[in-house]
Amino acid sequence: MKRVIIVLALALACASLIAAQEAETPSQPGSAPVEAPATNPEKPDVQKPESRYEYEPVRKGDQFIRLGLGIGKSLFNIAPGGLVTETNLNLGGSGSIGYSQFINGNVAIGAEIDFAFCPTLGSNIFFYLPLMARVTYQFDYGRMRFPISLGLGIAFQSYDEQNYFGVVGSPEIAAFFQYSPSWSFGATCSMSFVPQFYENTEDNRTGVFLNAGLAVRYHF
Amino acid sequence: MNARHAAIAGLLLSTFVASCSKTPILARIEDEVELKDPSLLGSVHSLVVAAGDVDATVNDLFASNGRIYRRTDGSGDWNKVGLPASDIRCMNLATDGTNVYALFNKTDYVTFHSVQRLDPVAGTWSPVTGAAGAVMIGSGSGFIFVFFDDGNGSYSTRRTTGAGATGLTATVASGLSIPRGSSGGYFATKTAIYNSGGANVSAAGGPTSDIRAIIAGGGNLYAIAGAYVWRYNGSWTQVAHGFGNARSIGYLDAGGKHLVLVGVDDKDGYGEVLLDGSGALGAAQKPGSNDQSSITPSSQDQYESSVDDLSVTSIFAVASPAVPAGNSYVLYAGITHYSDGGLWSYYSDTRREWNVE
Repeated sequence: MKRVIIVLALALACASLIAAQEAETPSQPGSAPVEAPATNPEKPDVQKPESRYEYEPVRKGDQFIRLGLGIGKSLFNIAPGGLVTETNLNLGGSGSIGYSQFINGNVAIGAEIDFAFCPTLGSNIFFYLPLMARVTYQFDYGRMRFPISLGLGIAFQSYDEQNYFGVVGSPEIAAFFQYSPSWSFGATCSMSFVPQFYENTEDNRTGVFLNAGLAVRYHF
Repeated sequence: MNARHAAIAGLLLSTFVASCSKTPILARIEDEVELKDPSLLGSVHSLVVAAGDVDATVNDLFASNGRIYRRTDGSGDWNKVGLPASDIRCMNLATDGTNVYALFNKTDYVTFHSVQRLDPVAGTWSPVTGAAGAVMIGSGSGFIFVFFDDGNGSYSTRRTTGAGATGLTATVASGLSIPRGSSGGYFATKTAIYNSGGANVSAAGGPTSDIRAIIAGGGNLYAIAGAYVWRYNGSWTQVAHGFGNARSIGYLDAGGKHLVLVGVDDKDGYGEVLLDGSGALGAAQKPGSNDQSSITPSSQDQYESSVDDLSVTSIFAVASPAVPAGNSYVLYAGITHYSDGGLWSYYSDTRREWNVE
């Protein structure tokens, strides 16, 4: 009989300890601790709201300034008689500065000023300075950003004391690494379409240039 | 359409219309040519045709940019001619029609050294006596002119005593304004043109100010004075050239072309004045404007992308036999430019493009 009484006493003690431990630990890992039942009828029963976190790399209203430097090469001219591959334009340089703002998680609109120059076969310089509005659609993968954009605008062009003022278009693809919330670094590749129209239509040309470079974006 | 849309449309339209009236750019670049490595760099101020080798034919070219170069028979390479001393530079060349003379100053380009005549076969130089203090020499017909600074803005001139001579005559004319050059039997100062005897031939109806250059050809004398090209054949006529700051003059009568060429400073290339069969002045025009031009119309874009935007400080037209085979004439131009300056050329048939010589 003594043994039975001792076993029952130990079992009751263990059950009490287990019940006490369960009362002090959350019922599920990761969930908010469960408060002890209100013992004071004057305090209201408080229940915390459920929180849900979802990572968004880009949000509406995000803005960035982009600076770029690179090289540019004339691919061909589109002439009334067909393509002219011997453009006599050598490898040149280019640069850009622009501002954009996201209107949703993927699409940004903005403006930029570029400059580009190409030395010519005859030791002259062809220079053009586009001022463009740019629309960008950006894909994300981890910390990588892949913006695809199209710029349209006007371009001041100069060559050998001759000036021209016309339109310009420039599609671009790029890849950026989001180094920090404020900075991303990447590479860009674009084409520039630079049309020129004249009274003598035989002189009409659309210069097609391929540009490649490095760029940095400051996000704010 | 509201006012903003109308303004944007107007801006785009005006941009397009403005674009349509400009000189072609990309199309012109397609006509560019690669510039060659230069043979004569710097400021080429003199080029004369003379008898420069053993065949004694007057078909050798001599050019100077401070040093002197010879192109035998008017073709092939330009070869340097030895100077009479190492510490001197050639200020300008002149010919009496057969022989080459040079005015040398010290390397400061100011201090007179000598006037000498070249023996082209032996390659030796003979000083012209009595030429001490000369400031300029000029080509003549059977003689050369030697100009002296007499001080107080007054100049005088003497001539060599004959073809190949190394002595000078007595003073031909004095009390002159600053000399500008000579050609044939005439010499020019800033304010007058004189014949070889020193008589002022421009006083009666000719140019009397801002004379810049003269050249004789076809029995006529042509001069640039200010904005006009003048012709003298016993009486004077003139035509406005409209080329801007004209500095030099050339005469082309070969290959069916009959022109006065006008070299223009301030990056304006050169211009042309058409001549008729008698040498009378016609219209002024840009090179390549028509078949009468010194360059073919198909070469005009290439000209406009090169020489047209450079300063032509001297221009020369050289005709057969002092040209490479296959050509009836060659144009040479002294171009001033920080990187492409030197002697440029255009060949009438074998290289119809302006390029570095």
